[in-house]
Amino acid sequence: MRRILLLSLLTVALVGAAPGQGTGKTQSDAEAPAQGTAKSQSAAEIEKEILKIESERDQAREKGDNATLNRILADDYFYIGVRGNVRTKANRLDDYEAGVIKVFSVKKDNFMFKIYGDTVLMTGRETSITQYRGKPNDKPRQFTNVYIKLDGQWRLVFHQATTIGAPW
Amino acid sequence: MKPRSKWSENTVRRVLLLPLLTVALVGVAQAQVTVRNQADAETEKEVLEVERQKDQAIRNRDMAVLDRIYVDNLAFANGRGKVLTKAQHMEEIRSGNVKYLNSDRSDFHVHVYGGTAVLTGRENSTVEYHGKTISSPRQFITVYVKLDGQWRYVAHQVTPVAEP
Repeated sequence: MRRILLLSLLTVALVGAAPGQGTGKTQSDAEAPAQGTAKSQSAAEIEKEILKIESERDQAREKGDNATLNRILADDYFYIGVRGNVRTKANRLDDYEAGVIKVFSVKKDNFMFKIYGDTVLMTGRETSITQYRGKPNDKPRQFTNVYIKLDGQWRLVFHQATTIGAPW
Repeated sequence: MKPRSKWSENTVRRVLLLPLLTVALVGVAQAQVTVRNQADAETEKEVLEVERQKDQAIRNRDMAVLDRIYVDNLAFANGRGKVLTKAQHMEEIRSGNVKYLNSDRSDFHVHVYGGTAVLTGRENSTVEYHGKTISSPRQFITVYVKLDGQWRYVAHQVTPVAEP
């Protein structure tokens, strides 16, 4: 009996180790099942959920609430700021911790969502009043957020902002 | 001779079983990471190849190739923060309002999340945009999503890099 149990356990374990199996998504099984901006109920629900997370993130930005930001930003989150600087999650949290970045008020609009299965592209315009290294910014900027569902939770994996109308 | 006890035999079996299971489970975890890494590396290669084809198509104004790579509801924001539809962006290329005079892109990073790949990089290409020559460095993101077995270009944004 014990031998049978042992054999079964080892078989299960070894089958799990076979190439192409396991939890690592392969390209074929990861193809996005939903696409476009179809306003199905599920798409509407996803948009609502993302907007709720965005609201929580914005409040956390204003308060410098790193615990909430840590929960929302994926571990490998990174962003491209309006100066074209590339920053990691750790950089960003340090900036809030040190008060290098301050968000005085948040104003965002013109949202658009494109949903591809567990990936949501959110674009919009931001006119929030912020301060980075003592330099205020109230210029309108266009942004892109990429949310991915990881372990059942929507996490922000990427953010980019571009000043609207700036000399190029 | 002292008879062997049932308890000690069971203990020995358990002691042997535990390391075996541990080794097997560690093997499972390692195999999963390896599979994921291999799949991600393959994705990175495929996405960079599509990106190369897209760049070549822009230079050659090959609208058929661009039409195949870009999704219809493309999210595109240029270096002035201007949002363009697929049709508007393609018209700028077709009309010659955007012309690549040379190609200089570097520092590519691909972050893979299953069927989504986030590509970032730096661009120093010289571009003529509505008659104005632009050669200042820009940081960009391009998001690719695998749809019907093809990597499609779904979003792009450019941010000029400010002087330090």
